[in-house]
Order: sequence, then C-alpha cells, then structure tokens
Amino acid sequence: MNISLELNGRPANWDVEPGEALLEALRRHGVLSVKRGCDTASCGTCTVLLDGVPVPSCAVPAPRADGRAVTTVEGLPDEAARLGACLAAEGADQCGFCAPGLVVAVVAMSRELEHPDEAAINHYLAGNLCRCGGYVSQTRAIRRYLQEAR
Amino acid sequence: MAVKAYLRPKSPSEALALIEGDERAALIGGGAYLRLASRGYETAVDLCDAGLDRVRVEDGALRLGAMVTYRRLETDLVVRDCSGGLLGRCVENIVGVQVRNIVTVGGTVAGRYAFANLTTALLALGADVVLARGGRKPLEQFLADKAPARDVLVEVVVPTAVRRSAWRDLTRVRSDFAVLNVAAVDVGGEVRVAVGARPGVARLARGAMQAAAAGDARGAGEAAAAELDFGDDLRASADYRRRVCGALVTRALEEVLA
Repeated sequence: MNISLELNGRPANWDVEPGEALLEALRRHGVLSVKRGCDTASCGTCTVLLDGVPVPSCAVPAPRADGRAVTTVEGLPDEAARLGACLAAEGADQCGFCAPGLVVAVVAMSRELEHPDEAAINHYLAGNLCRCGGYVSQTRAIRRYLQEAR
Repeated sequence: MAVKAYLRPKSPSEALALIEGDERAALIGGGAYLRLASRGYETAVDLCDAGLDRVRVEDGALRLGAMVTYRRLETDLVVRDCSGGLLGRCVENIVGVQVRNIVTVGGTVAGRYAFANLTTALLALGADVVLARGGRKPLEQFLADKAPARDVLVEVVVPTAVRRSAWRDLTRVRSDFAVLNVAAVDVGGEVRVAVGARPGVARLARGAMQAAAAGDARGAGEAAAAELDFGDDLRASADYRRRVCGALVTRALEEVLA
C-alpha cells in the first residue's frame, strides 16, 4: 500500500507492507540512523518523532504514518551536533548505537519540559536504554546540553 | 505482524462494521503489543482516525476516549483533577515516555490484560465502559464476561466525585510489570479497593471495602489477602503475592482513610 508522509521536512511517498512497522519502512528507505534494538518497544533506540511526539518506531504500524510528519535524528542536525558535543565532552558515548534515539528523545523532552531537574530527566528518559556508556555521564551531558540551549 | 490489509475507519460504527462477523479482522489501538503478536490477521482495523482521542467532562463524569494515551493520563490537567491524580500515577513508570505515547486506554481495557495497572485503577474508581454495540456497562461486568462479543470499545466513563485516592504497586525493577498492584479510592464517600496482577485480571476486594468502611485499614489488608485468588508466575509465587497484597492494601487505605 502507498503512504504519503513528511520525512524530516520533506514529502515522501512510500510503498509499505500492511503489517510493516515504521522502523522497518524507515530502514528499508535508507534511514539507517533509526536502529533496531529490542524490537519490543522497550529500549528506545528506534525513537522517532511522529507529529512531534516521541514514539518507538518498532511498535508503530507504517501505515499509521500516512499523512503525518516523521522526524529522525537526520531532521535535527543542529540539536544532534550540540548534544553530540556534550556527550563527547562528558565521556558519555561509547558504541553510539543508542545515540540517535537518545538525541530524538532529549529534543522531545527539551520541547516538552521546562527546566527539568535530574529526577525529571531520568524519568523522561527511562525508556532509552544504554548498555555501555552508563547513565551518570549521559545525564551530565544532557544537563550540560540543556543549560547551553537556554 | 502478518497483515494483508490495513484500514483506518473514520468512526467507531465504521470500525464495528469492519470487524463484525470477520474473525480474521483485528482492531488496533495503540499497537504496542503488535510486535509480540504471534498470529497474523487478514485485516488490521486501526482506530487512530476514529475520533476516539478526546478527554471530556460531561454529566459529572470524566469520559476518556478509547484512543487516549497513557501519556495524556499523566499530563492532562482535567484527567489529573478528576481522578485525584490516580490515573497518572498508575501509569507514570510504565516503560518509557515513547511507549506511553502510544499505549491507549481502550487497548488496555479491551485487552483485559491481567498485568495492567490502569485496569486496577479504573475498577477502583468505579468506571464504566461504553461499547459501540453493547452500550454502557460497568467495567467489573465487562472484565468478567467470559465470551465477549466482537465489539469496539468507544470510551471509558469515570466518576469524578473522587475525594482521596492511593496507588501502590510492587515491581522488581521500576519499569517492569507489577508483581501486584492496588488502588484504593474514596468516591463520594464509598471506599473502593481493587487488586490486580495477582496475576489474574483486576478484581474488587469487597471484604476489604467493608473493613475500610469501618475505618480498619489493617483488617482490610487481611481481608483482601484472604478473599482474593493468587497465582504463580515468573515474577512471584502465589504465597508471596498474598503477603504483599495484605501490606499494599493496608498502606493504600491508611492513605485514603487518613
């Protein structure tokens, strides 16, 4: 079936399978920043914005994206560069597999919450798992990013 | 998920017409469990365009459309005020924000999921469900229906006369399903207690409610542990759950009766 969506600000027309997840459709169309992690909506590494709302793309049917705006980390280049610099400065990034999903979630959080404290950051990002970088340095980097963004 | 056709009906009645008499058609609410579904469907009927995402207060009741998300329960001020914050508290630690942005009230209730915190809270609140064909009925009756007809859950109706509410759950790690969950509510002077994840679907603890009416929180905990059935699964044994139930019901009622 055919769907029309806005991908990172640009119109796209895709053929998708009725039972396909948005994650699979994105990767099949070359958007490889969106990672396949747990594939059960538990790890956050496939996070994208759907009409500005962070969702696990592995659990969103691709046909549901018809007529809607999908944003991946490629659509957030400035935010990704600034948060990436903070992650590097704080030693918070190792393999980087979870980073695209984390960037998308942090951007969503910064738009949704006004001046989140550490507890609010940890609660908002509880669905973004990292198996090697650890969360303490990540939280430091995210606080630094939010401070610099003000 | 193996699906041959994907449809987005514009109303609950249109959705009902698509699934009635077609065992190979399945409704999709939030879709969070689609990846875990072992069976395929001929037709997926997605309710995302069916106009079921509204929150409104009408005739003294909070009406939650079936497609209202968990995140909305957390953040919507109307929902928070009407339920004494209970509906937000019971879902706020479920996985992450991303999942709570897609999981829906209707998907949870219609799925009769035994582990669902939300169902326990709604049962304690005295909620009703509204079905496209079956009309309005108490949630307790809906959950007890052993052979439910194919239908579309339209909305959940929650009384707004909540004076006090308390939520208690025990999880092995914070974002996991609960080993046991408890909601206690004072609705218009009546104290109601529901217990879920036993691991069966949520049930009212009527003996505990009687003890609570007499102001006896400890007695209510003992009554709940004695009257409900508990089972074993990978998270806990029946005996462990029974002991946890007594403690959580007591603590929840101490908060409500204070």
